[in-house]
Amino acid sequence: MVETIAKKFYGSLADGTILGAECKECGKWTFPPVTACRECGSRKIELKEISGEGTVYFYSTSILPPKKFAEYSPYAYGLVELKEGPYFLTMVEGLDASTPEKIAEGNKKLPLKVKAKVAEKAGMNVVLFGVSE
Amino acid sequence: MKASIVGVGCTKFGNVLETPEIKDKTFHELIAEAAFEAMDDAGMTAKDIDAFYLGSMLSHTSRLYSHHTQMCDWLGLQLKPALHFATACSTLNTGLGLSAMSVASGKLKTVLVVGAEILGSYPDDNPVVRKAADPVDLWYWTDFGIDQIYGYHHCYDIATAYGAIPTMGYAKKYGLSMEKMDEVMYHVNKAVRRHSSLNPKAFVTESLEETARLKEFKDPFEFWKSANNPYFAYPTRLLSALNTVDGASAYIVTRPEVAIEYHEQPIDIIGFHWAVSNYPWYGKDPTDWAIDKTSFANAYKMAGITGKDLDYLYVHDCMQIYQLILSEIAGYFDEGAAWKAFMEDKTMFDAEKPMNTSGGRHGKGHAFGASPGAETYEIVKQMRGEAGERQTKKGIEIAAQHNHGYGMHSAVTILKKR
Repeated sequence: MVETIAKKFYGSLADGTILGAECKECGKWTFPPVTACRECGSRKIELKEISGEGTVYFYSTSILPPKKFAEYSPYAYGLVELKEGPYFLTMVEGLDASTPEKIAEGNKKLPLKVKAKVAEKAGMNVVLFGVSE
Repeated sequence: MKASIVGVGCTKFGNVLETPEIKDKTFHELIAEAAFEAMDDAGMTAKDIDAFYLGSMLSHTSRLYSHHTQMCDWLGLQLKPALHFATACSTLNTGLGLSAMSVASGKLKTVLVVGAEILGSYPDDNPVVRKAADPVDLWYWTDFGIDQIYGYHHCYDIATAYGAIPTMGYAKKYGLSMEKMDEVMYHVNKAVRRHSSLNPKAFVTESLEETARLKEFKDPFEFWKSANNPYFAYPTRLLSALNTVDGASAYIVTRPEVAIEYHEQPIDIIGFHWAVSNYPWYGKDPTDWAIDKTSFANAYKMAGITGKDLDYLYVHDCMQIYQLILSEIAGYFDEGAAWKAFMEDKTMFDAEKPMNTSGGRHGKGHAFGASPGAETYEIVKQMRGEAGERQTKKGIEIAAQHNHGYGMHSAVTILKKR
C-alpha cells in the first residue's frame, strides 16, 4: 500500500507543518516527500517535519512568468539548499527582484540563510522561504 | 556497429500560418514531407519500411493522440507495426536508440522514425483552420512536463531555473564578471545566428550583425546590450533563448550490413544512452548536471570513445548557456575552456571545434519533439559533405548529439561516418 503523501504534505501546511521524508536505509532526506528515497531509491521512508532552515544561493525573475503566478511578478525565484540536504526552488522573500540591476546586486550578497514558511499563492498553500539574516 | 542511418529528411522550420515553405500544411502533411524526403534520400518506397515510430510532444497544439494510426495511410504504411512515442524535446534523439535496438534485435530490418510539432497554432475544430496559440498558454501547456505535484506549484519559473541560475553559476565557477558573461553570451548568439543565416531550413535567417545593422547599430554588441534585447531573466537575455516553431524531421535506420544497399554513405549509430531526473536538476553548482554526465559517459562507453574523439558536437541549446555547460560536460572542451573558445569563434562551422551548425534551438528553431531529428539531419549532411554554405572545413568522422527533454531527460547518441 502506498500512503497518500501529496495530500498529507499539502494538508499539513494548513497548520504550518512542512514535511519531508527521511530514508530509514541511507539516512538521507527527500524534499518534498515522494514514495521513495531520492538518493537510494528505498521505499523505507518516514514523513517528518523539516527544520525549515536553509541557504539561498541564486535567484532571479522572468519577464514571462507562468500565468498561474503572473499576479506576483516580479518575484524572487531562488535556489535553496535545506539544512537536511535537498535542494528546492521556490519564491524567496526578502530578495529584491524589481529590476535587473537589483537582481545583480542581490546575487552578490548571496549565499544567505533563509527560513521556510507557509503562504497561500495562487489559491493554495505552498512553501516559501524568507531571508533570515 | 549497431545500426545505420541511410536516409534523412527535414522541413523548413517556421510557422504554418505564415512561413511560405510550410504555410497551410497540416501536422499530417509535415510528417509526410519529412518522411518522404528521408525515403527518397534512402532510395526507398513504403514497401521497404518495416515499421515506423512517430514522435511528438505537445497534444495541446497538435490536438492529437494515436498519431501513428491517423497518419499510417498518409505515409503509405498501413498494417505496419507503429507507435507514438515521446521524451519531450529529446524525442527524436531517443528515436535513434529505439530504432537501433529494434533493428539490432533482428525483429525489424528497417525503421522510419519521424517527428513533428506545431507550436504556434492549433486546429480550431476545423482541420484546415488554425488559431494562433497565445504564448502564455503555450508555456502553460509546456510546463505540464514539470513536477506537477510540487515543483510547478511552488512558483515555478523556467527562465530563471533553466537560464538565469545556470548562467550565474557558470560565471561564478570560472570567476567571470557578469559583464564578461554577457559578452560571452553575445559571442554564443553570434555563432548561433551565423549558422542559422546559412541554413535555408532555419527559422532565423538574419545574422546578429545584420539584425544590428537593420536596427541602425554600428556595433552589434551595443545592439546586444540595448533595449532591443531585454533580460528574459537576468542575466539571460531574450536572444539567448529558444524560438518556438513548427516543423518536422525524419530518418531511416537499418541494419549495418545492408545499409550500403540504400545509401553510398551510411552513418552508423555506435553508441547512445538516456538518463532522467525530476526537478530540480542541480544543486549548489547549477552547471553540474548528473543526468548529462551519466548519458555522455555511458554513450561514450558504448561507442568506445571519449569526448576528445569528437569532430562535432550538438548540445541542446534552448537556453544558449547550455552550449558552454554541456560542451564541457561532454569533454569537447576542458572545464573552463568553453567560454574562451566562444570568444575566439572556435565553434563556427569553418573553425576547429564546430558545434550546433544548424543554428540550434534559437536559429533553426525549436519544434520540441521534432528538433532532435533536425540535428541528426544536420550531422548526417555534414558527414556526407552536403551542408552547403555551412559545410564544416574540418572533416567529421565522429559526432555526438545531445538533447534535453523537458522535465528532464538527457539523450546522447554517437554517430560515425562509415
